Amino acid sequence: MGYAGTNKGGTSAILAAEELLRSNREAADEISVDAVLTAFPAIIDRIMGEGGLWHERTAAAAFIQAGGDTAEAVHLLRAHRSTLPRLTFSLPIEPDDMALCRRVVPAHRSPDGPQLLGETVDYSPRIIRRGVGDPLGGDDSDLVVDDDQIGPAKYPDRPVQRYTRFLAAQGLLVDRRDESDPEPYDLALNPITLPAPRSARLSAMSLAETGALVNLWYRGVIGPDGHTDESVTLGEVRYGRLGVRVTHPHTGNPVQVGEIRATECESMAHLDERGEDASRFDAGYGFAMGHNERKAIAMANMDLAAQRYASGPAGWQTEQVIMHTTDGLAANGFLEHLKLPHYVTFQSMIDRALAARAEDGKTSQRELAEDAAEQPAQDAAEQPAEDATKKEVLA
Amino acid sequence: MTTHVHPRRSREELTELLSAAEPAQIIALADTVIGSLDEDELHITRPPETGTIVAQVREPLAEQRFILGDLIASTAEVALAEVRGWAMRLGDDRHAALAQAVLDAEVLRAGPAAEEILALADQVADHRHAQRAAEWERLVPTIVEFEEIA
Repeated sequence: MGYAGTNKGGTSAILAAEELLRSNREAADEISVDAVLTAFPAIIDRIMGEGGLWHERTAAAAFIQAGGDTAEAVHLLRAHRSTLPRLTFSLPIEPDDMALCRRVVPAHRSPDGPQLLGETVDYSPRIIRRGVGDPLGGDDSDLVVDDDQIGPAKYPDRPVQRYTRFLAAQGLLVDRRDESDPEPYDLALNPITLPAPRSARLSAMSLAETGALVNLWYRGVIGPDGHTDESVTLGEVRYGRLGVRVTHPHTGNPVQVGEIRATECESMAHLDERGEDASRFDAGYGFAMGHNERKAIAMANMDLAAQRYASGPAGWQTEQVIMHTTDGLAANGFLEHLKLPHYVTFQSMIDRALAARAEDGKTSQRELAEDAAEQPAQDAAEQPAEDATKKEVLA
Repeated sequence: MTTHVHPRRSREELTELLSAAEPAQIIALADTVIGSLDEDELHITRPPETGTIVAQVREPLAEQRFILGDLIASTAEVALAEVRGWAMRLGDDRHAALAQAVLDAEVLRAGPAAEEILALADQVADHRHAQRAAEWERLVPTIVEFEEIA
């Protein structure tokens, strides 16, 4: 219980409302964390990413407690995160070290390393399945099977070159490397400021609500006239596991203390607009906790847009929207608060509206007075009508 | 430079492998170690604690770091006959973190359970290797060589 009304019966009504919810969800107590982790991995990954806290079991417990309400689960996770002490900073996680579970390169048919579909239904038609079996009635034996099966000998399990490195090697990519290695902006301890360093943008987007980022990206590619601008191509979409290393306090050496799963994406655009270097491409980067390709792709595209247009109003607006409007906890929290009592503030609005109407009435009276000599009968008829309207509003 | 605690394992490798071991395994081993100690030989110099590791990612385009978020982790530090052991592992299992620190110190001081602990580390390494090999074997059939379609 967070809001205790001071009016009569407020507290008991709030407690009764919570009890009603609890009693209707009693059956949910029988759902185990393990069952949720097995059945709903995508939503758990999304909750961890938006909650900014990696721990699958805690995220699953939040999901159960929230009754599947993602925003509520993220709220619970963020609240829990705020109670935990920071033990240390990790050494930089290097995405190139990823043990791949999925990797597609839409920009190139045969990149270095495999096009690895991994676990996905991206390439198949889907309709709702009830019970077992394929609802489309298809049989795998009816499919035309490829003659050339690809074996592990052709594609050994090894680190592969990311596509932007290939572009860079051809001299076709803008070089944005920063030798100064600036300290990353810490949004947990510092307020949002504009212009934001890129590290703050990337951090904000890795925490952002997935839908907010996707919407932001979509708003950018579908212009106000409804025409699609698909000038961005994805270089890499990868999902896999990455080691987490810290500095060993006794030896001072890097030491791995665990692994996380993550999704990363790089997107590329040809710099073909007026004033740009048309001999090059620019690229943006996205990275999300767990398996969340929509978020990583939208993030990479928005990173690219924010960099590409950084020197103009479009870039400033993009950055402002990324930094101030994509956090789900902030947006949902502000929206939810609208349900709380606003009687006093709204009454003051009514008072102001009435005052404005009364002022308007006085103005009318003045105008009418000026015309009184010419229209005395009409002026006398309007005044009772105005009084009646005011009484009606007050009632 | 890594610190070798055994001809075949550095201290960092040992920590990595023990942090990937099942809690029940390391807790059982630590109980054995503690059971063999004299009363004043074990000191908990940093009580087990659960908190977060702030995860930094180095994005590969500009090679800039950014903060991804927090990872729940547990840590502990002990002294075993004046040899300090340390542990950190992802997750909220403080009991396991304490046990891992005990095992770290036991190997460092070449205690009676050191070989058994190193054997567990070997077992974890083998298991991880086999698990990844099996995973890759399952993934390979999903490799595709697309025709030009766009």
